[in-house]
Amino acid sequence: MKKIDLACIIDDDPVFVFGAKKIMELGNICNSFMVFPNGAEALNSLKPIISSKQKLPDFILLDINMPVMNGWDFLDEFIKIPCEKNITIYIVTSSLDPFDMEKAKSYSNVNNYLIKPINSNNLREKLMNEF
Amino acid sequence: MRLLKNTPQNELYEYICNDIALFHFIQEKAIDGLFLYDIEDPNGFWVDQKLCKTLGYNSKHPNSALIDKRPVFHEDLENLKFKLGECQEQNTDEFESELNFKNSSGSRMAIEAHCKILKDEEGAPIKLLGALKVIEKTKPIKLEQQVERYKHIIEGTNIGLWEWNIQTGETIFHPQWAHVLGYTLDELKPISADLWKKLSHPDDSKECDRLLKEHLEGKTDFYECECRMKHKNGDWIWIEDKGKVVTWTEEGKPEWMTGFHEEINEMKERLLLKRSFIKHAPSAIAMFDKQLNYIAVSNRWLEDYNIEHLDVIGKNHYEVFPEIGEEWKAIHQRCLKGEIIKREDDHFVREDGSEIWINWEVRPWYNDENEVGGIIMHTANISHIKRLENTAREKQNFLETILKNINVGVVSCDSEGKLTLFNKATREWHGLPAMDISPSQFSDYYGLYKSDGETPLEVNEIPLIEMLKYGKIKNEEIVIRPKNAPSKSVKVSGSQLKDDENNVKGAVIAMHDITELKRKEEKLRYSETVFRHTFDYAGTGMVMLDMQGNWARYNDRFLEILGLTAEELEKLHFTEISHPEEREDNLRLFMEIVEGKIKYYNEEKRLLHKNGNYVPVYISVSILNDEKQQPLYSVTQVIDISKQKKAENNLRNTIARFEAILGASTGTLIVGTDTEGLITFYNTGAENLLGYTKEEMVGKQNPSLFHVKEEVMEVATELAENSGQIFQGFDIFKELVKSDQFSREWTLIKKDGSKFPVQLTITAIRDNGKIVGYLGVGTDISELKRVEKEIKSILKITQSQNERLKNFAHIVSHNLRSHAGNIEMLLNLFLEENQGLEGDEMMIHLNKASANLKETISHLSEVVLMNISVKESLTSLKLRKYVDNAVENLTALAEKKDVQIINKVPKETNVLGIPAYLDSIILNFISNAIKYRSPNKQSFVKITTSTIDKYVIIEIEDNGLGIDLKKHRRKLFGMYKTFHSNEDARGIGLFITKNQIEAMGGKIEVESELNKGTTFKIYLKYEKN
Repeated sequence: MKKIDLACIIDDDPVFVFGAKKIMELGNICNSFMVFPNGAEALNSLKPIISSKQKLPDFILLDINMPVMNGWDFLDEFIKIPCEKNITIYIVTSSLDPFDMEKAKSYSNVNNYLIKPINSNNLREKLMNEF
Repeated sequence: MRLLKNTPQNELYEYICNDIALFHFIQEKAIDGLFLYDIEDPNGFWVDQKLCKTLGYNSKHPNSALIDKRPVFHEDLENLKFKLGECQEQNTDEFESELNFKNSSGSRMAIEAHCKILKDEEGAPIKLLGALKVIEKTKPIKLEQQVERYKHIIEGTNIGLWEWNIQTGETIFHPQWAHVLGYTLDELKPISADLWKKLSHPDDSKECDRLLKEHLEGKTDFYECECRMKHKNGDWIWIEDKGKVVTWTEEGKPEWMTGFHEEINEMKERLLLKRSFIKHAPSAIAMFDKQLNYIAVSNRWLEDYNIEHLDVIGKNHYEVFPEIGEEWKAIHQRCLKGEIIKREDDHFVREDGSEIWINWEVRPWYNDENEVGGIIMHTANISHIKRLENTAREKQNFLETILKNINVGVVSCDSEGKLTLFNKATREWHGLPAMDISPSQFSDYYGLYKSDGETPLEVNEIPLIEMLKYGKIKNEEIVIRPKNAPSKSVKVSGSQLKDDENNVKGAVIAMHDITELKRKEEKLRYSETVFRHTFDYAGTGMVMLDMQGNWARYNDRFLEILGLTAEELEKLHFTEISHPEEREDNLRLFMEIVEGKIKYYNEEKRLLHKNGNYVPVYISVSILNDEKQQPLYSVTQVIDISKQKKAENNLRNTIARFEAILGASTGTLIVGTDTEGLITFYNTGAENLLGYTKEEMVGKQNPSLFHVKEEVMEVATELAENSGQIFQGFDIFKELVKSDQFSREWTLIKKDGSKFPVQLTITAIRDNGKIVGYLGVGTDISELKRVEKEIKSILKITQSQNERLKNFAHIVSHNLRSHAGNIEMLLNLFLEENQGLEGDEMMIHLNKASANLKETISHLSEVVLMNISVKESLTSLKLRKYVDNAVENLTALAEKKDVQIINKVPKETNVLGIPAYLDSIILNFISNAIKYRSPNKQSFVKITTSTIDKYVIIEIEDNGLGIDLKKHRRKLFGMYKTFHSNEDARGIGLFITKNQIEAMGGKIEVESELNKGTTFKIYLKYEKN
């Protein structure tokens, strides 16, 4: 697979963010990251990037349960922004709620639904189909 | 100025005071009195005392009141008024007039009046004053002249004239009047009306007075009287006096009467002699003149013809007896011609209807000239004899007819006892005629017995003889039992026959046949046949005791009740069959009946049966009286009430049992009422719960006492809404029963006022379908209510715990998992970065711990998630598909372990569930069955289904190790429990499975036996296609 230029991690759990970055670095998946602690901050940062046509992340790891703006709300806002780039979005959550899984399927932009914890092999395997 | 009383006198006085001329006028003219006439007032005619005196009144005269009014005659008053008018025309105030006043004797008195008009101040006439002077007395001048005229004629005759003024009493006798009596007129002076009276015979003067009075009253045209007067020589001589009233006063009263008298002495004496002779004749004789006028009559005649009250002398025979017919008149005429006619008895009917029988003779009598002077009738009135004869004959006939025809035997005898009358009835009764025999033979001959029909009567007991001898009859009732006729009971009454001196001359008796009466009486008393039948064959025992308490009669039923024969009973006294405790009482009651103190009584008694037992009986005792109301028998009806008693006892026991049950239900309130709500039953439970005692409630209170009024009203409102009718009071409860709302919660009030809830069921008590009352059964639900409240609060707690559990689930499913995931992730990263440390023991354990943590969390999550999220998302699933799927997944394992899987699930069965759970459940049970197979057997697992109600039952049966349910049933479906020492057992499967089943609305059951196998029954909701 080809290496991802820029990955975006939206999660309020710093341990997961640390782990995820490490997995992607070690797995040689990606070396450059944008990290936001919740949907709102991510949206605020991504919106100007999109409009100014600066470099956008190729891949987003999105947590659902977050303070300020959760994953679903972020998705609802984010998909409204017209964007030429096809960004791969993976939901990563510790929620086993079938409701959440079903909901994820309703978003065409969401490419996959991963249940924490993740590991490099696992993630690499999944991303092989995308990149 | 008036100071004096307003009377005519005072008025006059005032006039005089005002006018002295008036005084002189009165002095001069008012010689005999004065009057004062009020012109205005027609009644105002006043006269003074002097005039009263002049008229002959005195002040005390009863007529004085009249004087004040109208002593003057009406026409004179009119005349006064007329003259008064004339005066006014001529303007004079004095005139003269003649007035007539009524004097005290009622006759007129002419008075000359000088009148003066008295005027008032204006000169209007108001009064008329009259000064009176009597005109010279009147004299019968005219009569004197008349008498004078006839004087000479009368003097030539032998009659003595007299004249008499009835009003004044003045009398005038002529000399001849005195000569008749041997006097000269001078000798008899002073002449007055009293003179006649003095000389007349006192016996006759009365009659003369009567005749005079008749004439004066105008009843007779002449006064005509025969009387005796004293002759100068001292003899009484007969005088005929005749007279007539010739003048009358103006009021129509007789005034002057004139008449004459002459001597009739000789004629009178002869007539009197004859009359006296006839009068005292001992038979009825009457002497008549030729015109049939009575000349003389005997007293007997007057008596016989009932005309004593009449003075017939001089009267005509045909007037006295107007009924005398032509036949008699012809006889009289024949006799007047000299014939003599007689008749022995002649019957004729008086006008008044009375009948007369006479024996008569009519013959003429001859006068001195030997001519027929009239007739003499001689009659003997034989009416009374005739009447007596007739009456006697009628009576005889009447009595004979009666005696012959009445059904009363009549016998009479003379003083010797010899029969004098023996009527037809008596002959028939005795069957033989009367015989001339002595009384001592009567009884035998006539068949006379006492009322018993057996004892012959002694001579002195024979009613006729008794009556003759003693005047009364002792044996009022006897029996005649003749040799050749049916016997008869007769009632005898009679009396003695007495002559005028009260000597007993015989006796008579009347006998009334009372045979039939007696028979009827008997019939009535016993109703012979009917009574005997009812008595002997009555369904009830019947006994008659005589007044001594002996058995008089008893029926078979009575013997049956006692189990005795008649002979056995006869040997016993009635008290001997009584229960020992009742003997005394029975004897007392019998005595009271006998003595008439009580008329009847009804009681329950016990009688001794032959077998020694006592039979309970109901007896009614009454008394049978004879015709004289004397007690004859006591009649007792005996009813065997053994069966009733037994039933009664049973009933009593049942009731007692029932009541014991009701009473024992001390925690249950049972209240019975009648149809109107009055409490009739009240158990111990009710006493306990309500606090009122039975005595306070039964028959006194209504359930409303312990109901909350408002609550009952609410129910009433509810009922009104449903039925449209308004109910009040107890009707509310009735309606509840009627509308099938038997049971509901009520709040009741205890006696102490506290309230408690009950579940009360009201039912109607029915007797043969008819509601006779209501029964309320209530349970105190205070405890229930309390528990309910507790449960509610527990539910609340549970709900909040559930809520917390949800939070916990969230924590588990998210946070815990996040942390565990992080640890795992970090551990993997650490090992990746530090290759070669995998073998480090510390790291091995750390890995293991991380993995365990993850697994535990995932189990927890599963359980928690199921409960909170899936209930509403059940879908219809084809069961067979899931079973096939599981079987397929496990085929390899089954083959390896040599377990046969038998899938008997039908293709069409659908259940309601969640696909993942259904997969998991089926997989779990089948894999368990494989896991816990028995190593010593040919193992199998069989899946079958069946349907019950809303459930599909999936049965998963194996013949594996089995579970000791006695030990493990409670823990079987617990978390982390394993019952086998199997290396795969995690102890979480059944827990999760059970939770999944229940989450889908199902349930699970298990049957198992160690070393035999286990069957799980999974109930899932059935979806009908």
